[in-house]
Amino acid sequence: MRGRILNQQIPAIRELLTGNPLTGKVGPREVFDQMAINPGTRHKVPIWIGGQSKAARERAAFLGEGWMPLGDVDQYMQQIGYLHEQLSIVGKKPRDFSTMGRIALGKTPSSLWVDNFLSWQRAGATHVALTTTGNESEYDQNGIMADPHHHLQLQNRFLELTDWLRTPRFGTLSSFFRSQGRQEFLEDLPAKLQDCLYLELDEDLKIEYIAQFLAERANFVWATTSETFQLQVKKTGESLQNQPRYLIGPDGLKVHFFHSLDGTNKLYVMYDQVLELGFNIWKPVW
Amino acid sequence: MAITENPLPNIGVVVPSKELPLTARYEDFDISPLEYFIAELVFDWPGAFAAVYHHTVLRSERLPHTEPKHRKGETRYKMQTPFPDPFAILNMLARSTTHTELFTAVLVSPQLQTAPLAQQIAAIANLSNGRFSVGLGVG
Repeated sequence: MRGRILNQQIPAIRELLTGNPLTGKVGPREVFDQMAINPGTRHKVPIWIGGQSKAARERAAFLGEGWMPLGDVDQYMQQIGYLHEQLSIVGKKPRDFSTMGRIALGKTPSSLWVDNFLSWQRAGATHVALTTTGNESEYDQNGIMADPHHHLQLQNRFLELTDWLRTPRFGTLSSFFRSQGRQEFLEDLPAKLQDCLYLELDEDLKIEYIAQFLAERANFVWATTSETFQLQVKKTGESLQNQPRYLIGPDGLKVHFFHSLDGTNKLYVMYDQVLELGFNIWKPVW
Repeated sequence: MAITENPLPNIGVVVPSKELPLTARYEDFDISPLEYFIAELVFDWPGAFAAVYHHTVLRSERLPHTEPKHRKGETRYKMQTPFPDPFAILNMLARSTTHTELFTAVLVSPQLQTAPLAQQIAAIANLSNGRFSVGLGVG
């Protein structure tokens, strides 16, 4: 019932917002005869649809400009296919359509935030909303946690952790290379990379994987204008966990590889000025 | 391990309007915790956004929620959980920010009258100079 009302409400709201008079029915209760609001608005007000159900996704595709799912990234990935089907029926392109992911800062350890955020990006979300709702134990009996600093701190911490992502100088490397003499660089880089990395790293499978990746996709490695580009691998410790290993990159900058802090054995790559190797990339906060 | 060409998503906050009361004073300040939160909010650059809840109607309706612990006719929220009017909060946000995009996430519009709702939406869109997107849902 509510769904049907909403389907009729959306076009009615759009019409009313223009300030034009509206005649017709919305739901079982509302009948309009030359109804108008004044002032309307000359601004475009995008209408997003919330909800997990198929009906909600159909509604979003047919009547809305955006979709607000409730679930996590995995659920989003399962559900987005159907939305795209519906969009193609209407003739809208997925890239013109917005979706909003969510990260529950209050319920996720901060070591997973960046990861979480990047998976939303990979999934194709255009917006990521941070919720600061905590676990139930942190609330009083009325469900109130009346300390604004709790919420502000979580949000600001997230901003600190993603600062390096949001700063403009961290463009993606692929786009960097489209504009910056990528061909010249590519001509002699792969051979060098292969030589250095394989010689030094074949004892460690994980690092070897990165080495292979670098070798295959050398066009994603960033270089400065430096003439000398030497890559050497130095092993810094016996334990992989949280132990940075690095290459000496262009201009002597270090390229770090290390395992994620949450123990999932995901590898992160950190570069002083650069991101994107296809992996998640991590800027150290120490 | 796929490389993504997707642009970085816009980052925003869901205003904790059901956690922070709009009535009590916050410590020594002359404003409520929610007002304090909004005054201190730093998400104000192009692309940042803030979303506001609206669950008033759910609360009074005593809808059983699908989570197991809520199955026995309990509501998702307690009667004491505050759900201040989203448009009042959006009004504050519209005044205290200059770039932030504003959202409702989401407004249970089928239980509201369409014309007054359109009036409120138009008001926030005008006050915020076009920074408002309205999220609608069935609750």
